[in-house]
Amino acid sequence: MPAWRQALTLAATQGVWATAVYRFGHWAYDLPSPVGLPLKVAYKFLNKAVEITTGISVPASATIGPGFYIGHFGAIIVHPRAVMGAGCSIGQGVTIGTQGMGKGDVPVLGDRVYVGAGAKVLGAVTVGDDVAIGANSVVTRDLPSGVTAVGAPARPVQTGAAKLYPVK
Amino acid sequence: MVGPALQVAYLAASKAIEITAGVYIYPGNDIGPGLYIGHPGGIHLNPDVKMGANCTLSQEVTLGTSAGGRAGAPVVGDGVYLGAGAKIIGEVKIGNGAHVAANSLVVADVVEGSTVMGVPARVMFKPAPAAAPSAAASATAATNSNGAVKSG
Repeated sequence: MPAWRQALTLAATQGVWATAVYRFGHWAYDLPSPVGLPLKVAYKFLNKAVEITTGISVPASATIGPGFYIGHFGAIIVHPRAVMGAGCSIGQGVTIGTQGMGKGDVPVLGDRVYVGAGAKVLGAVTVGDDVAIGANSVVTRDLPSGVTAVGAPARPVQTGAAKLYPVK
Repeated sequence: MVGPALQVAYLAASKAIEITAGVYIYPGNDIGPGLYIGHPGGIHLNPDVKMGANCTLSQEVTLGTSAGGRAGAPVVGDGVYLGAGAKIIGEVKIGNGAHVAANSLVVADVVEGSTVMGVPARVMFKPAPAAAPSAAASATAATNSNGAVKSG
């Protein structure tokens, strides 16, 4: 693929739009009010445009480390208070949020956590580093570092496999 | 000069489909005739995915590669039904006439004519042993395409 087409494809990737708008919003929300206000208003419009065109909702108030990667798009919901470490990667259809039913606690993810397509991480859950969560899994309990967890509810099925995945 | 212009036009068209329909299918995908997509949204295919004739794709279905060394893309046979939210991950083969239930995670080969369900998916119904495999597969394929037309 020629360089111009690689650049165009990257710029046309929905995950890049969502990550860029999240980074902008997260930066703008720490600015003092007179300078920050127009940027925050601009962020609100950009964020809504991203939500409508990509189905990715990553609020500016979420805490997400560097190297965040969203490969595809659609029905990706991250809670405003969610915490994710560096080098995390989430697939399409992923929810990282509360358990609902009056329980407001949100997950804390470590570094290099891979969340497969359609997986849900819900409630006061702490996920360690180098964890892979299988597609369509539902994580409602803590996961230690270095495991691959699968199932609804998710259980660790093997250790050490997550590092094989080349997180971009 | 025609090539780059067409590629840019294709990119614009594919983005329009992705944004309006939420369906992500590559030009490199090898998909047989009679593909039926019942409902749009959240459908993602890896560029190397191959699908046979008369398959049904439901909403939120992913066919792709994933973590833990599960490189390689799925190969889907003829007349396969993939239920809503099903994820088929890695270099697995889905046999002719197989049914994958909604929200299942398939990480192992699925035998021709069987029905699988669960995360990870387990066999729920095995194919009838008396029927010849090819006949059973084509019969299921016919049922699938008919069912698709009715429900659509």
